[in-house]
Amino acid sequence: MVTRNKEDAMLGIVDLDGSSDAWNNFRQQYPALPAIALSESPHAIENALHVAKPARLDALWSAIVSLVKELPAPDSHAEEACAAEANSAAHASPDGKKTVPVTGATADAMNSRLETAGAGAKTVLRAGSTGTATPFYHPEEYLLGYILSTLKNRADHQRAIHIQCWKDRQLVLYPDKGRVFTDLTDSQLKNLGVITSRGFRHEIKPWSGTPAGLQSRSIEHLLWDLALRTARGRVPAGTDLSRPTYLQYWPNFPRLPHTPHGMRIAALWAGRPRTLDSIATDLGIEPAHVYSFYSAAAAIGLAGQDEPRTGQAAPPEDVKKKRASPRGLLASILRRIGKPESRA
Amino acid sequence: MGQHKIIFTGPVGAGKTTAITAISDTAPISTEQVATDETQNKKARTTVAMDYGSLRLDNGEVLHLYGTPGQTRFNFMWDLLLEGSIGVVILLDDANPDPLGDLRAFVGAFHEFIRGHAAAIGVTRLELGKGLALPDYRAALNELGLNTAVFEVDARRHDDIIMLVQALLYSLDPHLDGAVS
Repeated sequence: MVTRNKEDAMLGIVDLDGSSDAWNNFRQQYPALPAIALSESPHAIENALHVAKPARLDALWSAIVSLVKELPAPDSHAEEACAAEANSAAHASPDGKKTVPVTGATADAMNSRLETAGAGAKTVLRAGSTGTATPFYHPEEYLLGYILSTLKNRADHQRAIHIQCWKDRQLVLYPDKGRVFTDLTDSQLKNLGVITSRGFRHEIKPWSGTPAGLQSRSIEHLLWDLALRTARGRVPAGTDLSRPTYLQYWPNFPRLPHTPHGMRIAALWAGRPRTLDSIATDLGIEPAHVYSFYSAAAAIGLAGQDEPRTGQAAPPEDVKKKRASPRGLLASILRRIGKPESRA
Repeated sequence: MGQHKIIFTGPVGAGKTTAITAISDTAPISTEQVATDETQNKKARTTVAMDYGSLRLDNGEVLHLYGTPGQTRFNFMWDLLLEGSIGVVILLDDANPDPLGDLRAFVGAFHEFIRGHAAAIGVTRLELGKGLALPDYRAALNELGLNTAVFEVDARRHDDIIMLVQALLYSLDPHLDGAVS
């Protein structure tokens, strides 16, 4: 954790192999500060977590997260300071928009946290990190916005969109066929949500047949997954959380990545305009889960805040009449059929 | 103990028997015979009465799974099977000549039941790419005044059929224990 003022530090990381007095010196200065001790050989040190060197980023990240969890929650002013610091650390891109660069390795660590907490959880980080102190994010700063904009603005619907990613990996989108082909590994695909849109370039080429050697998935699957990993418990900037939002139809869950509480949200919300927070309250779940779901549904055109045009919105159904079976029976059936094996 | 059941219905060859087989605890009882009518153009054998499968619940009760025959001449059985049912799963075959017509026919036949209970719709063989897509089915359902879950499914896949049943259950009560969702 990096801060401008030592007094604001929430934990310290000490390299024990640099000097024999490193630990004692650290403790003299910060007797009560939570600490992570780095060394090549195990050390039994009181009141510190040991991480073996060379430190893997995910192990270091897990140690940081476990220590931070034990700390009391900061007050709102501290959260604002975190956000301000994150913004001041951002680099201005040539178009004037601020982005916070994230390397692939850092993205791996963030996604490790994401998968532990669930795709819908808020990844609220502490001082000096890329914080999510507000529930909003700017899709245009990420690959998600880049792809959505490219799909929206393409003039020729018969052509393929080739997007060059890092290390010369590519995404080849065929909008008319609803398919995307890629040579990105599963791990790299998972990182796409935190990669900023700087550095991407694309070409639009004629359809030249199914690319050889690339794995295929639906564009809808890609956008839904990308939106979940980009949103991380947030909604696109400009979303008015006090206004009702619309979910036009149930998403096609069997062909989409697992979305925590997805079916419950869809069952409650499809066809019935609601505010996102009211959905969370009604279901007794964290708003972050609903925010992520909304971001994903909006990315594939199923949700929004504008009332659907006449004929597009499915009519709301009367839920009250649908309680012919006792809840105990339904819950028993739900437990019996369990999770789909692919979601286990 | 109560008689709890879910009905699987839909046109011939949509995958009803296969779907029940995919999730039933035991090998389903199937009432198939050699097809002698127009069905033989689609498959060699067809359900002539009903299919039956079951799931044993943790409270000792049994959830019965019934598959209706697809030919409309057997529709007199539908009302009998619906009695006491929790909900209905409608399976449609996108490879049929008029899958939207099938949708309208089966939703129409079960419309009153669906209004008072719940349904989930699975569309099989969409991957064959005959021309329709899920938005077409959603729009047709919209015209019928319903906003039921419509999923692309493979009737052979356990997970796909499980999700159809989950959607049916959550349609009845979104507040069911979310530990499984």
